[in-house]
Amino acid sequence: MSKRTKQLRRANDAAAQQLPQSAHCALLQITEHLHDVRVSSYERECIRSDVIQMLSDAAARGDTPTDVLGEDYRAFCDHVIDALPRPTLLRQFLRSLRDGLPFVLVVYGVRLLLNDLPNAFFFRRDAGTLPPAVLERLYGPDDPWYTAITLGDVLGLAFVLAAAFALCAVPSPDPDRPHTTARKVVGVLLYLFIFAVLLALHWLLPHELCRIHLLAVLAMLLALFGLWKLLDAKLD
Amino acid sequence: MIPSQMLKGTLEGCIMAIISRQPTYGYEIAEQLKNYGFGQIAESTIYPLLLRLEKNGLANAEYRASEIGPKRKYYALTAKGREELASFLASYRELTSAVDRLMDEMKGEST
Repeated sequence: MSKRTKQLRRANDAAAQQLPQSAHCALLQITEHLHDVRVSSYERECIRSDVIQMLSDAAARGDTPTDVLGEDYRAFCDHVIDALPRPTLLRQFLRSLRDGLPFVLVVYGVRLLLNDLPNAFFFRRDAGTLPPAVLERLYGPDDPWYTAITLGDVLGLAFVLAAAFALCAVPSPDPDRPHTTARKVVGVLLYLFIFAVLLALHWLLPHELCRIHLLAVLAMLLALFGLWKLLDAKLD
Repeated sequence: MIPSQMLKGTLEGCIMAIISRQPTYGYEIAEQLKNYGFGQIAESTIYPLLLRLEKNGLANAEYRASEIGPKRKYYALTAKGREELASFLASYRELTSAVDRLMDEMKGEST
């Protein structure tokens, strides 16, 4: 979510607290109906702001939410969504990329911290205790500061990106409903599952495609982080 | 009361005509339409049309402080919107002329 969307959401949350109970209930229903893949987070907050203003004015006049928005809130939201221009394919792709990049960064960042860097700093070849083939498998033939990019890694990255894009197609949680503990647990388990798949692919498909220095890996992750910040600033 | 199906094709043009005179907001547009004889049109009908005008570049929106609550969104017609309004008025006059001619002929046949 972009910075301006977060700022607008905070302002809307504060304004919504001033609404009478009936208007607040109407707003909650409308916000729920607006969770549609065709509506970006920023557009949703803009519409929410407009609806809060309409309900606030209506309350001051003595009108009810039904007087302003009609009885069928879903139909109102459908008309509003139909009025919005369809995002281009490029924009949809960039939004998915923006939303999926943190996912990719976390998974590969964790692998870098828990696997590659410890190998480089702490593990040393011990020819006396492990067979050469296992040593080769664990640490590679050369400098531990280089990491192998295997076929499994490339497929793993493709899997992670596909999972990230698939998750982006799921409407984001209702901002007015608190994140339950169950939802957080599911989120953590999902990350662990995808991380496990990534490691499994790395081990099951060890055919080496190239070797790159860990600093290059870190630089790539930083570049992806920069890309995410740029997309977050430019896209709604 | 004007049937909603008849209003459907003309309401957007009428809203453009109202905001072409001075920037105004949703409830005020509803009140002006009511005064002109369009009947009670809810803001829920007007808001999606205003949103479409804004997203298509036919209207600009600016926020102004209101007496209570968040800032109000005032809509004004853009240059592109004025061209679209002129086109709508020309088409509407053509339509009403055709309907009037038809009505006159029917009246002539009945007398």
